[in-house]
Amino acid sequence: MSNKPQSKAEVLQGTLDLMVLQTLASLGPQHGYAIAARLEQISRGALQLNMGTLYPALMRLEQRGLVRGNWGTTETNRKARFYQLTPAGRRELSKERQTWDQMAGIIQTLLHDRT
Amino acid sequence: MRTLREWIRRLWETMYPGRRDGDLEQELRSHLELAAEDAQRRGLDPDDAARAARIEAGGVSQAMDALRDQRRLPWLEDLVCDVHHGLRALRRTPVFASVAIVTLALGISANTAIFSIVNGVLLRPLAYPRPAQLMYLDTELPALGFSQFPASVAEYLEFQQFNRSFADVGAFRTGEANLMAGDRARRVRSAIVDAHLLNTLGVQAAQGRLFAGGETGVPSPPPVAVISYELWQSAFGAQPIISHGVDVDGRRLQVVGVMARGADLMDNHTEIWLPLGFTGDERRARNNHNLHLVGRLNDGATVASAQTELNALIETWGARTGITPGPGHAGHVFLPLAKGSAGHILQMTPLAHQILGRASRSIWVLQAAVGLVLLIACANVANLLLGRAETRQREFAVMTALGAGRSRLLRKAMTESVILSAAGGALGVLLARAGVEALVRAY
Repeated sequence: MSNKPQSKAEVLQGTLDLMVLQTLASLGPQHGYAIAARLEQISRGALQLNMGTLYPALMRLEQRGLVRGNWGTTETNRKARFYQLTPAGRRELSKERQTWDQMAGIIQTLLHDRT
Repeated sequence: MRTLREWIRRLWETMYPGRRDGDLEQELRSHLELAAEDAQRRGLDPDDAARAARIEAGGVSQAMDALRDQRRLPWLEDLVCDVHHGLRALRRTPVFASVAIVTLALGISANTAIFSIVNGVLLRPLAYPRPAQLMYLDTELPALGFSQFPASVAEYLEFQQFNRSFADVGAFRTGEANLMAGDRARRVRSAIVDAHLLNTLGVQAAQGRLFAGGETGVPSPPPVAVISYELWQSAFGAQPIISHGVDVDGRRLQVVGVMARGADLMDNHTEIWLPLGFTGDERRARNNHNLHLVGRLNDGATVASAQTELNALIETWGARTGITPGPGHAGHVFLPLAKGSAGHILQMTPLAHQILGRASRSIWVLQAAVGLVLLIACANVANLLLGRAETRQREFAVMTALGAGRSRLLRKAMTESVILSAAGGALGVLLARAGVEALVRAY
């Protein structure tokens, strides 16, 4: 693991990866559009992912072995590629959640505590 | 470490792509269809829905670009692309390309050839152990007008005895001899040396042995010889030669050793080494100068300290030897030059300088000249490229309009130049090899 500070693009990438993993954990196997729609919904429209952002992220996760993709059909009988978490993906998700919670807690304390 | 793994993976992906482009595109299109479907469900009509989906989700080609950047090594693919384009562009203007390549080749070949010589002759140290310690000694005899003159036997032996700066000093003569090898007579270059010289130089025998101390410096050296490795190969067919006899100038000599490959005496191209002897008469013939001397400085001595000692010795040479300067053999002795026309000194020069001497200056001048030639060649090619760039302005404008950034255009231009240089360099190296061979043969 490299120790150099993450650049801004990497931080965004890392956050997006985490969001995708969590979405798949909550909703089960989904195709790309469903993941994007879900994230847009949860964020009340703040997070609008275009294909150029989403699919590189999915590809990254697939390359790292955290998700697995297979072609399938939607309820409306369209062909789509569905992604699901792998066991490695689950482990990575829980690890990332811990890191995130820890970091969020520290920042929260730093910014808002009056001690 | 992770970045290295990442890099390797991307390289692999570039060569053997995992998911095919078609597959990715299909996934993107399905994304758009699903988005349009969703929009229709929200109440838009099909056309508006499709448009809305495209606007929100972005374009397929942009997404494909983003995916490509993610998986592969974009700069590598760009490089391959640029090389292709560069070659095509150069093929379209063959006259320019050939002129540029030939110009570069000429400049590079001249430099490579001359520098090979500089490197081989001037920069490479002498092939003796610790060559910086080796000094060539000879005499100066202004009375006869000689600034470089051999030494006499007596002077050599006295110097050996008197000096403290040299670990060893040896003497030699060079010449030619007639050698009977098989049934053919050959004229070979000879070096008549004493054991001290072989020890001073530090040359080794590849087979057999060299001369022992008792075989040289005596009035009647034994009939032995050492031949060079090259002569052993060429004249004796690399057959066993030790203890065999050879005919040299009518005398039968026994070969006691074969010199190591490449061993030589000051570029003499020595093929046969013979033992040096001094008779009593030769020792007494003080003004018969026929020996060249080479000495190896002591480990602690410097050239300056040895020179100082030599100057001091020359001042007192007459006193040490008990000889009063006078005419004829009996009065011939070293004397400082300051004493006028009778002055006669022993002088020392670093061996490398003695061997190369005047030649080194010519070679350096030649190197400077071809260096300038290369500069001129580069200036010419730069002019050619400049002229060419002007005629390609429209081409670059189109590329800019299609979205190429400045750095990308620069990379393309540089790739072309690198292709030209590589071709010119390759051709230049080939020419240089031929050139060096020709030069070596000519000299």
